[in-house]
Amino acid sequence: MGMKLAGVMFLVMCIMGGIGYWYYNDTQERMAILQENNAKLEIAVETNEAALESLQTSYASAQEENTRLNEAYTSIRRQNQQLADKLQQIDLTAAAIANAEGIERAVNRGTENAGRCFELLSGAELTDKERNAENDIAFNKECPWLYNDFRARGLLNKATDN
Amino acid sequence: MILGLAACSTKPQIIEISSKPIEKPTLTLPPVDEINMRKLEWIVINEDNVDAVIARLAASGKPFAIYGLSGDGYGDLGLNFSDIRALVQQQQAIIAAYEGYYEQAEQAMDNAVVQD
Repeated sequence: MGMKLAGVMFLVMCIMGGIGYWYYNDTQERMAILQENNAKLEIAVETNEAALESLQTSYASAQEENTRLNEAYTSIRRQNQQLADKLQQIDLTAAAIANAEGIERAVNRGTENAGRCFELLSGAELTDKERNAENDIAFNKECPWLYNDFRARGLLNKATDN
Repeated sequence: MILGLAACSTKPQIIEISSKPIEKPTLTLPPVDEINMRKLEWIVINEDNVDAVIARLAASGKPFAIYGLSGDGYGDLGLNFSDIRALVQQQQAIIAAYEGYYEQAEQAMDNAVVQD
């Protein structure tokens, strides 16, 4: 009877031991997977943070460009207004009656200068006269603001860089 | 108890994360054509010089025909050109803004990839 009981107890212990062994291995495996998942999630969080930072930078950059563009527009509108202001002060008809030759020279020079502004905006090479211009008016009377632009880009001769 | 210890569940699923940066092809555009403005000559005529101008043109051997503009018309033509120039400048400013934005965005993206 005692032997029988011992045998049953041994069997129960073996089963319990087997279950314990299985449980240990299963838990270890599960822990390894969870650890791996944790590491991956950490990386995912870092990636998300980097993406968010990148988006924030892009947003700031977009705001910056928008501000710069609005400033450029204001400046361009002011430049465009200059001719209208100038023409309001001049009676072209009266000027043509009083001094046809003089006004003819002036309008031909003005037309040439205005055409040159378009050439420069399209990327034309500067002439020696333009490169050595001492100020914005000497550069081009119709678009004097381009002088500062070219100077900032270092395309004018150093002698004029004052 | 055994089932409780085993959490009565299957093994946790292994998460697969894939984050590969894709290189965008660089946009290389040709520059705009350079403008070469044609030389044009204005002739200003008033009551006093009209005969002299006609004689001068006749002497040059060109057939006599003139397209005329009044003083105000000439002023308006100048203003129209000025408006077109402003439009060109505004378009250039927009292109520069796009360029600046995308360069910075690209930089930010590169930095993010480097951090990874």
